[in-house]
Amino acid sequence: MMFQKEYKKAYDEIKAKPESIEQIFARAEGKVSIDKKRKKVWKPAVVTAVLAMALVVGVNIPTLAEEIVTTAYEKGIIDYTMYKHLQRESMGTFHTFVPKNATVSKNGVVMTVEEVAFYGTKVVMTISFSNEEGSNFINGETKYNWQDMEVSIAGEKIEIDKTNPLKYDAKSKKLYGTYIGERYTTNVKKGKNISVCEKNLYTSSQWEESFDLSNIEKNAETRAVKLPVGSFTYDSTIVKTESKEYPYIVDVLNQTPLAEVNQNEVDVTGIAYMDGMLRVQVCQGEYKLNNNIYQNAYVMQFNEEGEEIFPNPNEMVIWYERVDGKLLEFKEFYYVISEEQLKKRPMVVYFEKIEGLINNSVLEVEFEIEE
Amino acid sequence: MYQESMRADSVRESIEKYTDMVYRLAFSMMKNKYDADDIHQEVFVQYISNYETLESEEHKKAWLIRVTVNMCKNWWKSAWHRKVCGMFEGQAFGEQDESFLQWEMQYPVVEQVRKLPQKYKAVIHLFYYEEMSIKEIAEVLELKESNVRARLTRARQKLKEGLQYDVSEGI
Repeated sequence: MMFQKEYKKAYDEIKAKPESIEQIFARAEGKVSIDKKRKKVWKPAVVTAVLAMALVVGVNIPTLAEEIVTTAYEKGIIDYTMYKHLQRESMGTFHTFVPKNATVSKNGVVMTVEEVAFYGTKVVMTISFSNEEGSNFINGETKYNWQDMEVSIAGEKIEIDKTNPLKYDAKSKKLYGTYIGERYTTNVKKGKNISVCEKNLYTSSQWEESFDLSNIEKNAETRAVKLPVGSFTYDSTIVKTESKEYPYIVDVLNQTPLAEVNQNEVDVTGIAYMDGMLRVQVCQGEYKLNNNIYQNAYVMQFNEEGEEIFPNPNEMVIWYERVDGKLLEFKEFYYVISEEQLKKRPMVVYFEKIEGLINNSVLEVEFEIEE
Repeated sequence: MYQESMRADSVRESIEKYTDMVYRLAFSMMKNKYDADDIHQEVFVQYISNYETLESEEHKKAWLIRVTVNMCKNWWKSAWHRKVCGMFEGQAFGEQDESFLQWEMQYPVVEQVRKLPQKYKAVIHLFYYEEMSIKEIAEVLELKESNVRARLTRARQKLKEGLQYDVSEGI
């Protein structure tokens, strides 16, 4: 209460200026005027300013393409803050082009850089992903994600500003995404190389499940399993094992018979409260080396205020068990908590399944800046 | 003319209703009141262009919060800010004026919140000042609830270090 009380009291004193409303309307009116009259009013002033700056610092006089900037704003590629900044302060070159040879194919997927635009120090690229002949990785039913996009221009690594989520276009059967990067320079030199590298295109699905702990099992059956090397420290005060050296044998929950465990999807296989601890067991599905499928579950508890109580378990063990010839991966989380606190707190488990392109899914292409 | 006049009144009414909410949120995320003023005005200029697409009060409020947060984030990221603000930071801070400095000194929690990374400030302000739930914050900021919870937890951990008490106690 102390924090909130003081914070609220402080911010109760913060108010917008009474005259700001009229200023807002005046500014909105001014924006409309600028859009209509910019060619006459703005250009000479900015050209003069840029020329003056060019004389001072000796840089190449940039090309001002105000139509391109306005189009970018109207298309929603740049927001109003950036639009205003480029109008007011721009010293850079505005340039767009469609690269001729910016396509790469790998593992059934084709990546194409569809368009490149430079706005001051920003570089904006539209990138698409489609199928190679015979592949169906890209389709309209699946949700996709991308990360680890690396772009460099003339050897300069470009700092990523943001990437927009991938969207599937049914007409062209392509996934489209926008990459926006921040450079340290505004120079755009024809013929210089641009390198675009996407390291991780994947499908992802996430879901969550709530669990009512009011009738939680307190005398759950357990089974003994052997923990792999490196997954356990024998001096843990939370997880009990008789052996003080490898192999460590621990008793894990045995509430879901192995034969009934879901081998394909990550799933909760046991929940119990024993010895003053909440134990949650999860099966992560089949374990394979070099697997392009990644599955995980996160266990969270919350109090009445919706605050996260257990962002990290007090202990966790991982082990593997073979069922019908498949090696399944299990995790069991241990949370030290009183029974009274436990009952007041709902438990939610978040699940995530990520599948990427198999085997070295890096898509990389190089092309030149063109007219 | 009548319809235009009615629309203008409706816009003005909305601006009057939410002006302080937007200003406080911008102020909590920006370095000084001048930038907060700028963001505050830009948000409503955008609102004037978009208000017809906003159907309910709930939608309007959510839109205003989201746009304010995004504008603040974009402002921090802009190269202009990085180049110019660094040069003139001393001046901007000097121009902060005495009243702001006294305000900050009077409320240590404010100083500590202002030290937090940008992405935690909005969540702290919306949770503690606007008293929005985790679910509401997640919907407005288009984040997962788990992300909001994680940001709150981490922000509280950082605040605990600065304030020497547990922010989450007694709430």
